[in-house]
Amino acid sequence: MTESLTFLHTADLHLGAPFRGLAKVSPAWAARLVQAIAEAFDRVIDTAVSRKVDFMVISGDVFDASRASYGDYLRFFEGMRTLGKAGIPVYLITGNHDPYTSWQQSAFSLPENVHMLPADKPGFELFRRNGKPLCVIGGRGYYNQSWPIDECIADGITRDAALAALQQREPDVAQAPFAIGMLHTGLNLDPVKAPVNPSVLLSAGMDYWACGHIHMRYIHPGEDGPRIAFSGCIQGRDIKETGPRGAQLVTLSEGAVPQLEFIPTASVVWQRLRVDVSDCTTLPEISDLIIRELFRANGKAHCEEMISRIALTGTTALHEVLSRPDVLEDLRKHVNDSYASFFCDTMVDETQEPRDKRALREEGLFPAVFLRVTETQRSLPEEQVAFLQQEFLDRGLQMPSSCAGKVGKLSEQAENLVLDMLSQGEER
Amino acid sequence: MGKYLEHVKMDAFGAFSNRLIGPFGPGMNVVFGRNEAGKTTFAQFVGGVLFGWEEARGQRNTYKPDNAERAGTLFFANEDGSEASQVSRIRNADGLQGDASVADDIDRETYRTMFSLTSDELRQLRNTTDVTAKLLTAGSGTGASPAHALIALQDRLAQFTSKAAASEKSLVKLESEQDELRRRIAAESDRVERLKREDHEFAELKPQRDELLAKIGDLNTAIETLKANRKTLEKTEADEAELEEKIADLRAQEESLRCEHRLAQREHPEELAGITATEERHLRDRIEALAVQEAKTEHAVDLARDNYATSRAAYEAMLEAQDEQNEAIRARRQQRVQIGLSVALPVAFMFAGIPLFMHGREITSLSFTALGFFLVLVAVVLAAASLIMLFKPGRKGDERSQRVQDRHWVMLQDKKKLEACLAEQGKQRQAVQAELAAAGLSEAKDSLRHARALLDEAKDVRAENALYVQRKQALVSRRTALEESLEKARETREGLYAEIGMRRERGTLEAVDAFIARKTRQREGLMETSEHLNRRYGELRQLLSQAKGERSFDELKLQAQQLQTRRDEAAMEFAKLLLARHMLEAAIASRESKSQPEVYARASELLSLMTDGKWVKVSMSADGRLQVTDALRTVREPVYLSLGTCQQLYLALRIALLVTADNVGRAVPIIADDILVNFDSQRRAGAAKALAQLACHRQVILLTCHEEIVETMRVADPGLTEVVL
Repeated sequence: MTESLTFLHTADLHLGAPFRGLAKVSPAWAARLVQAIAEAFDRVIDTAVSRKVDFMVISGDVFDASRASYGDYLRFFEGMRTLGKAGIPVYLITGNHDPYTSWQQSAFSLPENVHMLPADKPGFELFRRNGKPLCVIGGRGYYNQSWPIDECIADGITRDAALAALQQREPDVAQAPFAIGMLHTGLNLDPVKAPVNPSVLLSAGMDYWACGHIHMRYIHPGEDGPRIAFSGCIQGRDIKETGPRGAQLVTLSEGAVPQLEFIPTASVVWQRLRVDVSDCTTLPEISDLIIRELFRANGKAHCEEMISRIALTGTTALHEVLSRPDVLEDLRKHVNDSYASFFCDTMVDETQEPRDKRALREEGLFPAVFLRVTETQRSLPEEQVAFLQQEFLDRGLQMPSSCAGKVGKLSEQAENLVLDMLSQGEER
Repeated sequence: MGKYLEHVKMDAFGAFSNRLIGPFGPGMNVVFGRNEAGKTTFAQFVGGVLFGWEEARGQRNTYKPDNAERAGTLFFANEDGSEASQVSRIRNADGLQGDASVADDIDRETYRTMFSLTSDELRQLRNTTDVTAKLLTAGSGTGASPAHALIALQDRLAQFTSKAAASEKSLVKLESEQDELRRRIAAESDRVERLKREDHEFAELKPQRDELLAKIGDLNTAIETLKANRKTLEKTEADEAELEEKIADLRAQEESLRCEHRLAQREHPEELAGITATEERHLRDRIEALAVQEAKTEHAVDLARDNYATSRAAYEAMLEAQDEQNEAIRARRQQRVQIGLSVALPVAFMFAGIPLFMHGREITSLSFTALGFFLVLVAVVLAAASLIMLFKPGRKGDERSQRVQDRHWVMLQDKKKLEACLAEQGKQRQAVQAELAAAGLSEAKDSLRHARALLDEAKDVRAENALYVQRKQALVSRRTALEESLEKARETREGLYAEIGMRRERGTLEAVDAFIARKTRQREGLMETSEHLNRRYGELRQLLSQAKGERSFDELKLQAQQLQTRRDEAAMEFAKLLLARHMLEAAIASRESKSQPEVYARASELLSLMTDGKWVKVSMSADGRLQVTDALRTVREPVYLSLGTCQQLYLALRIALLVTADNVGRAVPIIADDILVNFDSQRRAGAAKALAQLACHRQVILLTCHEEIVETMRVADPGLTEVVL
């Protein structure tokens, strides 16, 4: 008889993390959002119980570095106890957001069904089902927020090492048909946080590597033969973490590749929409188009509630209207009032006035001088950055780090802005 | 050339009302007026109509008539003589009435610095670069002048560094808000940490609380037991005391018994007390035998004595019969007397008594009756007594002398017998005495009765002794029983003390009380702790259950993130505007760089003209500062120039700019209010020539109160228009 095993692979719960990248959340949505991660966590626990998994692994970052509220702390430990009552053990490692040191300061003690693998050295546990050894679990967490660059987090986490380490405590460990590894790692995707070459993991003799850290779902080498997997975070919490988020239900069977099932858990999905309004001639047309786009985007998501950042693009005569004070804000309000489950946090106008710059250049008037000057300036982005840095410094302000990377785009916008301003008198 | 100012009509302004000034020509105009003629008023009026009356603020002269609104009109004419236009102003709020286009190509600031010239104004040119830029980029072929766009950009940039509460985009404000939020988050974070610690405390409190309650329960039981024990002890101790008392009493009784016994023993001969019942019986038998013997002897003696007495009596009776004759005669005599008396006396009493009695009855006197009766009674008694006396027998015995002799012998015989019997009796008594003495009854001597009495006594004593022993035994047994009880009570007590945990010698009720008090205090202490614990427990439970649903920390964090986003967005916008300004400035500078040399060349020329070749060059230094060079190539900054030279420099620069920027304020006259007063005559002539050059391009109105200046102007520009105020 071939043995098989099912477990839930989660990571990056980030309990207590605030949603990033929002600017103007309504009070109702703020109340919604502060609950979202905790609700996603509840969904994870519910799934583990309802799917009767053998155990659950959490590959780091249970709590966010910004510290969880007391209620979220309780929720985590209650969740763990719920799993304990259902007879589901939990294996967890610490991540860069909730390193081993932070757990030590915590006043809470882990329930008996929760096993935290160490951070100072590789740790191993044996999972038994009905007293029969079934799966060896090896892994290692973060000791503090950063991982020493000269050390490999996966060192010493192999099936052989696990068997050797557990031999003393569990003499029949060698009978366990499965072995999995747990790591909080940047793999080859984030070179800063404990990077590991995938080949190192593939040669460790583990059936499956349950990894955490990169927040997105990632399978190596591929969906048809997953050996290393990131489950992603359970709830996107950044405007960049768009799309469905959740946990991974893993089934290991002897002589077969691991079977993965994605379990969506997010309460709210994020979308960044770019809406080309070139063909719109009135503001109502723009708002209709935006709502159509929102529905189109939501059709692909796994959950109803969606928070979006909308950029209006294209060349349109409405650009001048859109740039008037409050027009964009009214449009945003209109969109938000239309459907309660969609929330547009920010609406950005990236449209352009139809303008023939070549003609302007040929006219030889002030705009021609201006365009010549901007061309020169834009060809020297380093100088522009230095200029901005100086200007910010002179005013005692901090220049956002993203300025440097976006200076080209900013310059383009600045150029258009000046041209808009210069042409403003023409209609009068 | 187009429009020029032809007439000025002051409807109400300062001291003037309904005054028309003019006409002015399109080129150079000189207005001559003495002091207080209204030159400055005129200059202020033109600016006021075009750009608004000065607001009445502070101590400044705003030329507002006492009882009227400032009002007036400027009349413009076309150089080609075609249709004229006019502008007028009454209230600032109503704006410029009429053909407002005359002021379209100029702003108030430019007018002030460039068109309305006074001696003071000429000492400098504020914001030279800005003014230069403004003048030189006007008419650049765009809807809005680049200078205006630059100002708009500056305004928008200013919003980002503004400290005003209303400015949403102010980076300064956002940063301070962020600081505030960070502070609140830190506080909230501390609170969360504290909550976690309190949760821990709460979890630890529960077993503590249970343990404490158990301890208090134990103490309660212990105290109850102690109190019960104490009661038992108290009772035991009271019992003990009672027992001891009883025992002491018994001992006293024993002692008194013993004393009594000793006393009793002292009264009785020891040996008799010691004899046994058998001995006694033996003795009694012996005494009985002796008694029988004695009785026999006694009887013999009595018999002998009786015999003797009889015989003696018989003898004596014989002797007595001899005297009886004599005795009988005397007796008869006596008897007669007796009879006489015994008859006489009762009769006498009878006679006295009966009548007395009778009399007494008659007079019903009780005393006489009683006396009578008594006397009768006495008579009866006397009669009876005498009768008895009469019948006494008499004796006879004479002849018996023989018998006397016989009887005497018998008497002697009986006497001898009696003596023998007595001797026998004496002997016997001695024997008895000896025997009794031998039996220990010496005290009885020869009395058997006494001996018997002694024996009885001894028996009594023995009985008493037996009783004593019995009583003593009873007492002792009672005492022993009591002592046993006492011992038991003591054991109980010691057992109790041991149970309480006290050593035997320490065990007192006070100690137990103290112990109970200590336990009670301990319990009170524990209860206080428990109360404190319970309070804390309740407090924590409430606090924690309340905190469980709290989202303020998360809300603050979300707020902080939003603020961060807003700040980042604002900073990006700010960066964009900075870049825009940078570009625009560069573009303006680039365009200026074409016209500026022209301006400075013209200014140099004019300055040279005015200073008669002493100062030859006006230029802009690399860092944007104005500087002048003299014929000897000495470079100076304007601050080091004399007042006159300085004014000449700025006049030259203004004229150069006004000539170059010919599309700014095309219809607006340049009004110069006595600007040449600090110039010497030579330089004044130069300045007049320079002004004349300007008048070729623009309408110039020079106000002066000096006739020589008018003369100088006439020389410089013979075609000038003169107006006298």
